[in-house]
Amino acid sequence: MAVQWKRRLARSKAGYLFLLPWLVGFFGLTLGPALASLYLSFTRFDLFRAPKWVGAANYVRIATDDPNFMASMRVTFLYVACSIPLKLAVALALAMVLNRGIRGLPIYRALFYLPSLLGASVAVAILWRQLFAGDGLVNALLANFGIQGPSWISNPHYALWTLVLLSIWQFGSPMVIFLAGLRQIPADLYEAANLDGASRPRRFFSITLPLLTPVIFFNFIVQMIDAFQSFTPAFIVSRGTGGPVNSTLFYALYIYQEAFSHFQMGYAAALAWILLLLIAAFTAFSFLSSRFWVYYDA
Amino acid sequence: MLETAPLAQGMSARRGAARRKPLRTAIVHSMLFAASVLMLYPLLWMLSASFKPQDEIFSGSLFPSSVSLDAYVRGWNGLSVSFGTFFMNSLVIAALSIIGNLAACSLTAFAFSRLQFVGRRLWFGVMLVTMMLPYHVTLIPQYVLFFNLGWVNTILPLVVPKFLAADGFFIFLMVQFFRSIPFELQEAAMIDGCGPWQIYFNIMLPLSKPVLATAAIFTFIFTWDDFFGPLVYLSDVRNYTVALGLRTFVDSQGLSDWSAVFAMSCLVIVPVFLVFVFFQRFLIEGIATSGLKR
Amino acid sequence: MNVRIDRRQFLLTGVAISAAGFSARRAVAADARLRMAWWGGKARAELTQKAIDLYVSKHPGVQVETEYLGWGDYWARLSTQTSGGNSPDIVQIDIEYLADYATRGVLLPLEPLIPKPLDVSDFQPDLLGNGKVDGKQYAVPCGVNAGALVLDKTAFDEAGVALPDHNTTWAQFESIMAEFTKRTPRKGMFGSTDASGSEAVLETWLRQRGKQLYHPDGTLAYDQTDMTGWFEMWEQMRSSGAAAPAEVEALDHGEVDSSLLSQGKAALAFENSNQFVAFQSLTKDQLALAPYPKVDSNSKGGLYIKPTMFYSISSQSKNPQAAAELLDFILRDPEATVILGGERGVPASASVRERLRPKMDAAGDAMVDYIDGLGDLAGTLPPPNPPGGSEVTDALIAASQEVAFKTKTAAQGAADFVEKAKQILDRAK
Repeated sequence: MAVQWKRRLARSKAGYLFLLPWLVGFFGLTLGPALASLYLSFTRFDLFRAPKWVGAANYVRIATDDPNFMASMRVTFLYVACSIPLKLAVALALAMVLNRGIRGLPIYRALFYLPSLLGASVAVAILWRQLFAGDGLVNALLANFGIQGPSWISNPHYALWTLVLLSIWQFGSPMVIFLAGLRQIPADLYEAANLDGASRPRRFFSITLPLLTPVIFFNFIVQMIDAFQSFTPAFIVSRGTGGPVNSTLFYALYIYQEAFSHFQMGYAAALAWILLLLIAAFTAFSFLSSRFWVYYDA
Repeated sequence: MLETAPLAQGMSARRGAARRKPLRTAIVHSMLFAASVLMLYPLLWMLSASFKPQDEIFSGSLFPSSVSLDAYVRGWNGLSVSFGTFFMNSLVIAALSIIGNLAACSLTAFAFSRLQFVGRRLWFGVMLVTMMLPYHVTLIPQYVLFFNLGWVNTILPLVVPKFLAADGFFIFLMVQFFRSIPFELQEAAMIDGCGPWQIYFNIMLPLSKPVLATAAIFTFIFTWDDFFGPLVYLSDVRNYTVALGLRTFVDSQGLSDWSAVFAMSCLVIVPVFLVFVFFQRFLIEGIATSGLKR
Repeated sequence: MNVRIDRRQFLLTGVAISAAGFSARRAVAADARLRMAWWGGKARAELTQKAIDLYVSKHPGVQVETEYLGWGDYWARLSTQTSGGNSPDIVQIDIEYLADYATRGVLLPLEPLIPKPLDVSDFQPDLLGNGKVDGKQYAVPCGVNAGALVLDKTAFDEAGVALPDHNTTWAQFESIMAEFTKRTPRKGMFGSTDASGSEAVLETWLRQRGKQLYHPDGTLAYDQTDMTGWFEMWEQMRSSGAAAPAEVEALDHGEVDSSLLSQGKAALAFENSNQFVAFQSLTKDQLALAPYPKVDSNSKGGLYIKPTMFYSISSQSKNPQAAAELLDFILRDPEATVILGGERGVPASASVRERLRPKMDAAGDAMVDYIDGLGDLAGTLPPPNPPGGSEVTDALIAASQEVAFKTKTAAQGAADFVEKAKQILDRAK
């Protein structure tokens, strides 16, 4: 027993050596502030005066007496549930198309990536207003079909959907990751399948999709963590208001408002830790499920 | 170790297929073209607006009646410090971040994906959790930390974390890709007496060019677009990054000068676009891995 | 291989250059090193820098670092810096946040520094009073303005509708604006913006009816009945076409550029007089200024002349004496004040104003004329907003949208808002 442990620890040495930079960063830069925010979540902290311990009061208020918490949860869940599947589907589809050996594809790859490069640039806010305001381009197009559209971006029923569209429009990152994943699928597998006379859909479902699952899984997790914390689209497009009528009040935007506009950092920290637990639960569930559908080292 | 023959065959087979089906190629091309026009329309609109005089911007036609570079000149000097300085600052930060991220995250990812050690799963979970805490609530404790280190108003708070693999996204990305590189290679090397360092340098890194290129591209884009870090840590205008400069320009007064805003917004994308085009080559090099003997 | 070495060399050079650049700026030693921060654009940055350079040339021992940002980012950074104990020595501060900062002890009471080195003896006492919190002087005003309607005169002329003036009542205002919406040849243009979410306009309306936003003790000075009346008035304006419908109004995020006036979707906006120049720069139409409407022809105007923004000294300043000297120079020095002009509003010091008046441009004249012409429409200054006031301001916007989009009735929206405002104020105490 002791010998076995000794051997395992000896083997561990190399692992921890490689892990060293990360461990230094974790203990030196990440852990302290994270614990500090956990502590702050049990205090009333207005940024300037010393934090005052209030026990679980912040959490109680979140659970029982905060309509904005519920509103922002609703918005965030809708956003996560709609934007991720659509964005990943679009990214995968285009990655498949762009992975062919056709001339000129690098150009398209770059072009399709362009919207993502815009990131959170302020120009996005103006562009989106040009497209989705009452007198915007989208409604001008709809008018050709005799449809009079609403002002999508400033209507509480539709404003969130313009942000979902924005997220899908910027599908470049998952697309590139899918492309890199597709590149790692051995070509000889396809050749073998070709020799067997497998049809295109069959090749997709029995080779591409299974071998791509680690990448799909990665994209899913990362996009989910990202979408739950989505901040900049709403911050830019609604200029930080989360309006109209809180219809784009993303959870992270609400945290930001509480922390920096309303000087309720303790409360904001409590909100943040609830979000962390939520994301962690979803991630853990995804990892558990991954045993059944993700294939490593096929 | 590498068998390149199947690769060449595979590629020529695919190319051949494309050549034999010109109709299909044409359809793919036209569909891609239509899709890209649809997607890029907002950007084209912005580009065109940057050349238009102020009163023409919102008046319909995509094509400016006359092309003027005035907006670029006005925007370039839109703050008391020119955008040239911001571009230099951003480039330095982005370059250092890429080096840091590639080095530190690949080491960490190698440990997580290829080495056996006590507590591996625990640390991996911890690493994932660090991605889940919204940064707005750790900002102040972190600011206090960096302030006490004397790092405020230098680039250190923006760059040092990259060398310490603070961004879990990149670790996770590399872990996923390292895991799909066949274990047989590693085992063969170990039988030959290679230690973990040799495996890391001689096997993992050369075989991971696509993911390293991806990480480099993303690091560049993320640092280029990030405004919150620079906002908090770089208080002197001369130290501003492009993203922060653009925001300050727009936020403070630029909105009375739309075309200059669009001009700068276009200009800011150019370096990122070039970086993408440049690193794309390495994405394609990834085909080499498909020639591996399995 | 060659390529890689070249690239590495390039990066190393870049690092070396940047390291040198970043460190050189901190190397110079000085008797007093001050930091000054403000929000604003290029013009403000250049003028302020020029005034500071002048100061530094006269005081060789002093070194001044400047920091500036746009409005939104400014507050995020200032609160982070202040929380971390690294606040700039001199900060530009807005009435919306003054109490939030002052009551939490991060601003310096200025009394020990007055009158020497900071001489504010010729500032109007009520303007100075606006910079007081709990009886202590935490801030001195940079300049003054007053609430005003910014009107698109060209559009009114086109529609053949007369502009509202000093005697217009809210009822008359509604019929003028409804008339405008009906007659204007411009597509998608409404008479008025919907100002039901504007705290400043609400305040004016309350003051016209003998009330105010806050009691001196910081509690809410109006009730549910007032708010119901307020929301119903605007509901009426929306249904008669006088004010823009909810969906259009929601495009307005409160900045000059997104204002419905700038977008050509409304013929007037409820703003402050010092924003006149900014609005005029965005349109070819001729703009004009007028006071807000009144409750009835005999009521008070409800307006007041107020500081545009303030300067404060941080309580974290290591050298408040030197900071106060610089501040005094910026506010009163004959040369410096000419350099700075009216960029931060019409100067609050009477003697400075005298000196500047002949040097004003047309837009500056329009602002001064408007303020001088207010007469008894302008009353005394209210007490500054209590802590939590900025959150109430946000809550009002949300509440007004709920009523405008008809997710709540006026009465329901008013009740919920008043309830929420009270909670916010309680929490922030």
